[in-house]
Amino acid sequence: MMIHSTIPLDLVLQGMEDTVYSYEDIRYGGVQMQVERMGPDQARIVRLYSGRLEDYLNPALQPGKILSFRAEE
Amino acid sequence: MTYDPNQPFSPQQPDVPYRTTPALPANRPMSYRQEAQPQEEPKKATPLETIQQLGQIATAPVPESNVFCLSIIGQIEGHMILPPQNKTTKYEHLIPQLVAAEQNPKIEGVLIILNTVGGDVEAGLAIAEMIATITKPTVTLVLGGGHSIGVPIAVSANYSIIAETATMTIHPIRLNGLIIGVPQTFEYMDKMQERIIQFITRHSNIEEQKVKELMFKTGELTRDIGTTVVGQDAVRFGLIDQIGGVGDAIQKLNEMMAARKQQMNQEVTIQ
Repeated sequence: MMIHSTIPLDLVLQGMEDTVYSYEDIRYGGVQMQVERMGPDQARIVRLYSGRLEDYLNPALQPGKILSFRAEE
Repeated sequence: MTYDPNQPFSPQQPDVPYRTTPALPANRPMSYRQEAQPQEEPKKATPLETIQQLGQIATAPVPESNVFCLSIIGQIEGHMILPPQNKTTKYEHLIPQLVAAEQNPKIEGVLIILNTVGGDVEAGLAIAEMIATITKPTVTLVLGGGHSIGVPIAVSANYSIIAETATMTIHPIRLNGLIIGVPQTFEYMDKMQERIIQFITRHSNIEEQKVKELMFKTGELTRDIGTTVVGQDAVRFGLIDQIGGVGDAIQKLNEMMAARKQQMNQEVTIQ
């Protein structure tokens, strides 16, 4: 991998080793995606693995969007 | 299963792994309270209910835009997840978006807004190649900065615009990681650099010699060799087509979309 950036590399990669990611894979509305769990009923989208093309244009499915899960009654 | 991402997440969907409590059996006995309550007589529908059922309340429809806007900001993230202090643009999301923009008949033009400090070489070139090969009109607008690997992306569109105050840094790439042999490493770096220079010269009016001159200039940058090209200079060197802002970008895109539509109509008439 090669990073071509005006930001010094040590700043870009700072804290790389300390960052712990807790990602899980779910299927939501027919789209396979990676999410970061934020609590028992919320998760943030990290990336979509696969889906229909229009899913990638859907504002509700952009990386960083928070999904709320309704607890089962 | 019908798919609506605006609906809240429903654990009843079969493909959802988050089931916390087991579902109650269907034939469970009714509770005492349910049995004791007398059955209510069916009420007549109130006017409000009728309206809801008919679904006739009209709101002003939002006109659908025929321009797809893509913003490339911060670091362009490649094969490695960058630490969270970086603002990143994820290439694995942008690439399918560009595919969708090319395929979707409702989208007639693509506007790419750049404010990037560079990033992964491979990811940056991949995005640039995607934009360059879209058949619909594309316009890039450099705001703030389009540095390093942002330069090939900035020139990749049919037409490029730079804000007067925006800058682009052209500087050599360097290897991060293990250096095994100096001649081989040098050759590899040179090859990588050549990819970037070739892309820039193919997609803009700048001469190869000029890119190299700007890239290896000393005494301009404090921590590096290379040049910071400000808006007006980027146009003078032939790197970017025009100085302007968002209004110019949209106007140019509209012109190009209209020309394309006219051309397509002509082709249909000839046939």
